[in-house]
Amino acid sequence: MAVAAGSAPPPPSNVPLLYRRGVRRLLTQGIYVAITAVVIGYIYTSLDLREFGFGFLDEPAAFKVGNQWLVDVDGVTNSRLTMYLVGVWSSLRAVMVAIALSTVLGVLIGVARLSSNWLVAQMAMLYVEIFRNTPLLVQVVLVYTVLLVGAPLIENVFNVGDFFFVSNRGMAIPWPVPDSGFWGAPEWFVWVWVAVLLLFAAAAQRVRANRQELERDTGQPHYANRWALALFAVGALVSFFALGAPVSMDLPMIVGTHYIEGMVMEPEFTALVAGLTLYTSAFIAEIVRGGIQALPKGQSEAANAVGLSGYQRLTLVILPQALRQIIPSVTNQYLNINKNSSLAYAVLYDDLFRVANIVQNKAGHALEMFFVIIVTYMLISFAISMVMNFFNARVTAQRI
Amino acid sequence: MVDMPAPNPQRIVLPPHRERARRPRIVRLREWVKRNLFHSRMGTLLTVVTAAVGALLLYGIIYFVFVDANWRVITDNRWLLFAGGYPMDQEWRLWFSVSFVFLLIGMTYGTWASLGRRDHVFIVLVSGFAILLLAHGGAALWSTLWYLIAIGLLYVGYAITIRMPREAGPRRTLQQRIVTGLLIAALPIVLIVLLAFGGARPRELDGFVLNLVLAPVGIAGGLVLAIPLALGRASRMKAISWTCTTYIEVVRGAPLLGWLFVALFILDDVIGGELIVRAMVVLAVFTAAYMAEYIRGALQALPHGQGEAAHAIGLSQLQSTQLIVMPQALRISIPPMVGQAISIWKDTTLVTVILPLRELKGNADSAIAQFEFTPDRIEAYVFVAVVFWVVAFIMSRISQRVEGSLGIGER
Amino acid sequence: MSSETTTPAPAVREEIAQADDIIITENVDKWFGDFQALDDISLNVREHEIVVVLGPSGSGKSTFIRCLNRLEEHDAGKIVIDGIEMNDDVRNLNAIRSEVGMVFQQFNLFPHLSVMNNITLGPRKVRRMPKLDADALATQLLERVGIPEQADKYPAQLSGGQQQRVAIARALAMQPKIMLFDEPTSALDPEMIKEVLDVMQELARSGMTMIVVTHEMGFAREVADRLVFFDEGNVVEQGTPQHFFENPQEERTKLFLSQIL
Repeated sequence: MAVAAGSAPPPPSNVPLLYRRGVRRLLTQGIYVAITAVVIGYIYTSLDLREFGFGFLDEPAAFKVGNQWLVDVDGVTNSRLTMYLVGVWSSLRAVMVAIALSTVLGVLIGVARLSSNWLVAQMAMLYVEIFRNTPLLVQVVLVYTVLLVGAPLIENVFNVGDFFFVSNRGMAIPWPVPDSGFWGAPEWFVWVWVAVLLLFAAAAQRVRANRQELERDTGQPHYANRWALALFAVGALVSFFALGAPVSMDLPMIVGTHYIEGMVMEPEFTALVAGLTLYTSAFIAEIVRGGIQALPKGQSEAANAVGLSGYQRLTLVILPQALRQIIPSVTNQYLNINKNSSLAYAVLYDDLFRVANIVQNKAGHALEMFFVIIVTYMLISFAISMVMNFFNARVTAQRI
Repeated sequence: MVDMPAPNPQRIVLPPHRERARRPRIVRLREWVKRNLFHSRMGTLLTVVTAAVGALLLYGIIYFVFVDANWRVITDNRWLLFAGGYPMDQEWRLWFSVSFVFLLIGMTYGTWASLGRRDHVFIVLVSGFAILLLAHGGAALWSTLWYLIAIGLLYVGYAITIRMPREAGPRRTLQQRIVTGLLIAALPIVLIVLLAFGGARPRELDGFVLNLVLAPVGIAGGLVLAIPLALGRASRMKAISWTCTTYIEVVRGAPLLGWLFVALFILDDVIGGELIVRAMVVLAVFTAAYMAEYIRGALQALPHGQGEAAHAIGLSQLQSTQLIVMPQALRISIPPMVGQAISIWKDTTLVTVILPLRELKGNADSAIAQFEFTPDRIEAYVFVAVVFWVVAFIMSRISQRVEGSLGIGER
Repeated sequence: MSSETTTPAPAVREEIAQADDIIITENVDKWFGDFQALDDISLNVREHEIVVVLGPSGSGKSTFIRCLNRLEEHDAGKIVIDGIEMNDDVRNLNAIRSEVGMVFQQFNLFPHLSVMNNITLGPRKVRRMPKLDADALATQLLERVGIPEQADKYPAQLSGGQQQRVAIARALAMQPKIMLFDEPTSALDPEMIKEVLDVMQELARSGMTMIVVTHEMGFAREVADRLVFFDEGNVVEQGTPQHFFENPQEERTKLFLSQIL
C-alpha cells in the first residue's frame, strides 16, 4: 500500500549534495537574494535618511490650494497633511467624473465604430485614431489653452438667461443647496429628503424587478421601467413639497471679475477631465468594439431572428455578453485614469500630485513625499479594482 | 434606370458578385450609398446629422488652419522645436541619423511587408508637410535637401530588399538576420552619431530630437529588463517570483510623473549622473514593468506542451527558455508591446512637466513664451499634437504590416 | 489495492527473452494533490520490447510514461532507466532525457522553427553535433518517416499525420534507446492514423524499445510483445496480445475490452 500524499519520505539518497536539484534551487535563490540585498543595501545607504520621518506633514502649510469644492481651507493654520488631503479629494473628483464620462462616450463611440452607417463608423474611427495617438499631456494642455484663449473674458461673459455663464474663468451653472423652505425648517431637513429619495429608489427598483418578472412569466407587457420611474418621480415630488422644499437652486452671479454662488467648473478642472475623457474614451471604444466583435456571429443573427430591434439587440443580447470581455480591460483604463490624473500638474489643477510637489518644494523630504504619493495612488487603484471586481463577479456569475 | 448592356451571346455566366461588379459604376455607387447611408429612416437621419456635424468640424478646421492660424510660430521656431539646444553646426549628425532610420524603415518594409498605395500616399503627405515646414520662408535649404535624401534612402532600402526572394531558405534567413541585426544596432549607432566624436553632450539633446531619443531608449531598455522580470515572476522559486512581482506592482502603482519626480529628487543620490540619463533610466525601468506583464501573459498563453517537448529532447531549462519558450512568447506579445511602445512615445512629453528637460512640447512652451507669439498658443500645441500623431501612426502602421507577414510559423 | 496479477509475461521473441531489463520501476507512487494517479506500480521492460499500455482515461497510463522521462516526478518508489536511477541528481536527469525519446498526443512541434530545425535542434544543442551532420541526420530521418520533401516547411503548413511523423523524427534524432508514445494517434483524423502507425511499426521492427499508450487495438495486436492494462492507478492485468484478446482474466479488463472493441 502506498503511503499518504506528501508524507512520503525522500528516498535515502547518496547523491552528492552539490548535484541535488533541491540544493541547486536553494543555492540559486541564495545567490539571488544576496545580490538583491546588496543592491537594496546600496540604494539604502546612498539615500540621505538622516532626517527621515513624516513629522513635517503636521506643520502649518502656509500655501494656498485652489479648486476646492465642499471644503474650505485657507492653508494658514491647516497642516500640510490637510492640504494634501484636499488635493486627494480634488484628484478623486476629477477621476470619478472622468471615469463616468469616458465610459459613456467610449461605449457610444465603440458601438458607432461598428455601425452599419458608413459615415458614422468612419467618424468614430477618426475619433479613435486622433485621440488615441496623441499625447494626453498635449490634449489636456490644448483644451486648457482653448478654454483660456478661446472663451470670452469675464467682462464680456457668455450669458444664457442669467443662470449659465461661460468665460475664461470657467463655466458657472446653478447648483442645489439646502434651504429652509416654506416653514423655515432647519437645514438638516435636506438629509431627510435624501433619505426619503433613497427609500423611494429602493421601492422603485423593487417594483421594476417584480414587473419584469411578471412580464417574463405572462408574456404580457408590464412596463417595468415606466412604472418604476413614475413611482420615483411622484415620491420625489410629493416628499419635496411635504418637507417644505428643503432644496433650492443657487444661481451663479458675477461680482467684479469673479463668479459667486452656483457651481463653478474652473478651466483647470474642465481641461483635466476633458483631456482624460477624450483620451480614455478612445481606448474604451476600442475595447468595446473588440468585445463585441469577439462574440460569435450567431448571437447577432439569433437576436435578429427573434425579431429584436437594433437597440434591443444591443442592450439585451450583445452588450451583456460582451461585458465579460470588456470589464477587465476597462478596469485597466480606469486605473490609467487614476494615474494619468497626475497630469493636473500641467494645468495647475491642485490635485494630490501637485500639492505633494508644493509640499516637497517647501519642506524637502522628497522620499517621504514619494512614499505618500505612491501609497495614495495604490489605495485609489485598489478601491477602483474592488468596485470593478464586484461588477465583474456579477457579470460572470452566470456561466455560459 | 440605367440600361443594362445588351446580352452578349458569347458571354460567360459569372457568379453573382462578379455579375454585380460588371454593372455600370454609377449603379453600384448608388446601391452602395443606399445600403450604407440611407438604409432606413433612422439611418438617413443619422447620416444627415453626422454629415452636418462633420461639415461644421471640417469647416472649423479649414478655417483655423488656412485663415485664422498664424503658423509663423512654428516656421520661425523650426530649429527650436526640432533640436533646440543641439549645436547647430552639428546638424548633419541629426540628419544622418534620420536618414539611417529611414533606410532601415524601408528595409524592414521590404523584408517583411510591402508598401501599398496608402503607404505611398501617407509618405507623400508627410513629406509635403515636412518640406512645407522646412522650406517655408526659405533659409532651411540644406535641411530640405537632407530630408529628401532621407526619403530617397527609404525607397532605396525598400527597393533593394523587396527584390530578394521571399521563400524560406538560407538567403532569406540571411536577409532577415541582417535587417534584424541592423534594427538592434540602430539605437547604439544613432546615439554614437549624435553624441560621440565631437557631437553634442547628452544634456544638449533637446526638442523633438529628445523625444526621438528618449522613446527608443525607454523601449529598448524596458524590453531588456522585462524579459528577466517576466521569467522571474513566473519562476517556481519563491524568493525570485516574489521580488519580481513586488517590483512590477510597485512600478505600476505610481504614475510616470511620480517616477520622474524620483529621477529629479531621489535618484540623484543613488546613481547621480546627468538628469537626462536619470530620466532614461526611469523610462526604461517604468516601461519594463508593463512589458513584463505582457510577456508573462504570453508565457501563460503558450501551450504547456512546448516546454515539455523541449525537455523531452533533452534541452536544459535555460536552452528551452532561450530557444523555444521566449521566441514564441515575444511573438505573441508583439501587439500589446507595440501599444506600450506607442504609449511610451506619447509619454516622453512628460519629462517636460516636472523635469527641467525640454522636449518638443517643452520647446513649444518656450516658443509661445516669446512676446510676439503669445497669441499663437493653440497653433503651437496643435502642431505638437500632429507631429506626435504622425509618428505614433507610423509605429502602429509598421507593426500591423510586419505582424501580418510574421504569421508564418504560427499555429 | 496493489497489482495482484503481475505474473511476468513470457517473452515471445527470442531477442527479448535474452535481453536485460532496460526500465525498472519498483513501487512507484504519484499523487496530484489528493488524487493518487499511480498506486504502487512495479513494471519492468526489457530491451527491444514493445509494450502497449491500455486503460480508460484517468487510469494513470499517461502519468506512468511521463514519469519515465521525468515530465512528472514520482513521489515514492524507484525508477531506473538503463542503469541510471531517476532521483534528484541533476546529472542523471539530463542523461536519462537524452536516452528516452517521447512523442506526444498534440505533437508539440515548435511552431516557430522549420521542420529541419525542429529535428536538428536537440542534436545540435544537447549533443553538440555540427550543423552539417545534424542536417544529414535529419534528412535521413525524414526519409525514414516518409516526408523528405517537407524539410523547409513550418509545422503549421503540414497535416496532422505529417506533423506527428516529424515529431517522431525529432525524438529519433536524439538517438534514444527507448521511445515513449503518449496516445500518438488520438488527435489525428482517421485517414492519417495509418501513416503514423506504419512508421511506428517500422520502428518496432528495427529493435527499438517502445512503450506505447494507445487505443489502436489493431496495432496492439500486431506489434506488441506485451499488453498492460491500467485502471485507477494500478496495473490490473498484463500479458501477450493473445492472452489479452482471447482470454482476459480480470472483470475490469473484460469490461474495458468490450467497450473499446
